[in-house]
Amino acid sequence: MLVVDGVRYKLWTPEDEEKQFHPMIKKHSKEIFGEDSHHFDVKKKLQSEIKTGSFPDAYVIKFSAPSK
Amino acid sequence: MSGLDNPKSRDTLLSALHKEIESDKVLEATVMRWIGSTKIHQFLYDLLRQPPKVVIIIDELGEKVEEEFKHFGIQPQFIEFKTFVRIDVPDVRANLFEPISEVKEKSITEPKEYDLEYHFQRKNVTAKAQELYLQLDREIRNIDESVQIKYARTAITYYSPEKMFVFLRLGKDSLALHIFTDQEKIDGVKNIKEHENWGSLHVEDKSELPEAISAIKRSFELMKEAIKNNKNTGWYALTPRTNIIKE
Repeated sequence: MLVVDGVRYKLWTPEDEEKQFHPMIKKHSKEIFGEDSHHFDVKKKLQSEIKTGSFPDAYVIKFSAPSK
Repeated sequence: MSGLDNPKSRDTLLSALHKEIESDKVLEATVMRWIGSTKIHQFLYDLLRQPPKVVIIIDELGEKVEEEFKHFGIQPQFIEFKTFVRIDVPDVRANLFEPISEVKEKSITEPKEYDLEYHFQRKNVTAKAQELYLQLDREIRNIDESVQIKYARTAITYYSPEKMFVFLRLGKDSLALHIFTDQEKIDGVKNIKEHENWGSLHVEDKSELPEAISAIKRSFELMKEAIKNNKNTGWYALTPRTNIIKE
């Protein structure tokens, strides 16, 4: 339990990752990745030439910092 | 993420990202300001030729998750994103997370050793639950002399010994387990929707031990069989998303 100024909060676990968790991450994207970032909700599969693939939930680009 | 090395895959992504920026004039102007140029396409082209950074955002980060990504091509950065709801007004929420922009490099320190005492203290486990665990532990170790135990930070795990087949968390009054099921329906074990070759079970009382022990024995057999058949047994090996990609 979390108590803030006497107000009680309980931990919440999303039941549906796609419908409940992903929108929250999108909403708080700038707080997570920084103000100079943008969350791209594009669903694009990354497939290698040998046909193995991954399906990132989203892409975030941080524009002002050089990628390392 | 090796898909980014594939020119076709990279170009498809570049087009999608560029299209999204172009479709929003405010965003387009902001991006131009950020990159100090009007050449957004060129910026994206250059960016996608650099190695990406992978970030895993998860509501509860545990040893199991980190272990799953140990052999991932790119070492991801993990962010635990917890949500709390106000008890009297459930629409009011509070989020707890560490922003990536402020995450500092972890200092290199000797790994901490965990033991049974640590786990008993961590959750203030009652004497009854401690006894329950010790009984279950004896039975798991008796399944086969090759079974190995590892005390991780948040859980106690049992290995076949090649791979983990039991992930056990001690609660104050009970034991929560995830066991490998290889999609088989095992008595007393609930399927886990998002991780189809693992199941969960809880033990709160001595009377539940025989069923739990029987399920764990079956899990060990299934793990041995899966290793023999070179199957991927990981927590993320079989998810609904995996099936979509296969299709």
